[in-house]
Amino acid sequence: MPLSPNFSASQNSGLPNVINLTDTSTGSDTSITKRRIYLLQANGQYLVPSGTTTNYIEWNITNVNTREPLSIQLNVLEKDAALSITVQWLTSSNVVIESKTTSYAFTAYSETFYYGLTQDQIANPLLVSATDWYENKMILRVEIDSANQAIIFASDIFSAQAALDRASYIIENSNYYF
Amino acid sequence: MASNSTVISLAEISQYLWNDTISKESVFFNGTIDPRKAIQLYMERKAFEYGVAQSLENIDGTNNYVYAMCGAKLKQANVILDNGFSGGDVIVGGGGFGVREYSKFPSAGQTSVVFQEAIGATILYASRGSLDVGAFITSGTPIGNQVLWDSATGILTVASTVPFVNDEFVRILVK
Repeated sequence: MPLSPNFSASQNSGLPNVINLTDTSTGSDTSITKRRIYLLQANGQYLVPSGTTTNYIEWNITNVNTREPLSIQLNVLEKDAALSITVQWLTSSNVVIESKTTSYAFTAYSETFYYGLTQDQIANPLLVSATDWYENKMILRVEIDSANQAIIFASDIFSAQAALDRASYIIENSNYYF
Repeated sequence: MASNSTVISLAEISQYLWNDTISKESVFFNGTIDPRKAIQLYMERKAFEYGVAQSLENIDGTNNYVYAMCGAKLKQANVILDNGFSGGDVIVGGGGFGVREYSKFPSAGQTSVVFQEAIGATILYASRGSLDVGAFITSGTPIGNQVLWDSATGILTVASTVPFVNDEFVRILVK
């Protein structure tokens, strides 16, 4: 059965700088011996780990039957980002057999900060009555949601990144906002 | 303590209940409730959902905080959550929360009616053509004006000797 290409991406609160990619393809094609990952940012630049000299990241295959390893961790994020991720499945002579592109909003930095604000609120319920404090939290929520919705509805990494940049600005200047 | 998933659902339900209440309060009482109540529920529920998904610290405290924030809508939210139906099925201020009414018009000769929406519910009352039925039984075969109620399937069965007439109005109350 030919390969039906697919992959998933995730980020978690403990290591928000890391993108976890998992090859979730079905079928098999033993002519495929390697994968490449392209992380396209909203500014048109490709995101790669430091020290990488290509636009792409190699995702080697050590077993052509199972395509293992099926997961890879990419230490690339310094803040939240909206990315258009392309994974290519190639032969040993670099012929692209399959390719799949999906957009993601990685929001763990913002979500974790936002969760921290709720913890502050639990410790000090009167914060809800502080109009500025709560409205700024609300703005942060809107930015996170907007980023996710731009991706879900339109795969729009530009709008999503703009929202995430506004969220990052709030977080970076949290002394003024909270 | 309610489970995390239950609290998330209760917060979602309470959010729209509060949202409705706030608009009425604003019209009639000039806003005696914090007008941000529904927004607060949304904001804290989102934080809670993320905390649950990422197993973050103090999830129990956040659970309690969001649960408490549901406030006066908690009881109604619990009823809606338990019944699995929208708030429109709750008879507010009459018959007690959670009592629901359904009706059907079976064809002539039928001896049973399916109330899909009442599956899993306890029957409180039934009538045929506006006349009360006899005793409810939950197993066996109904005789006379008895009716058999099968909660698992939502089927109301009358005795074979008294089948429904065409378009007979069959009404039930369940909880």
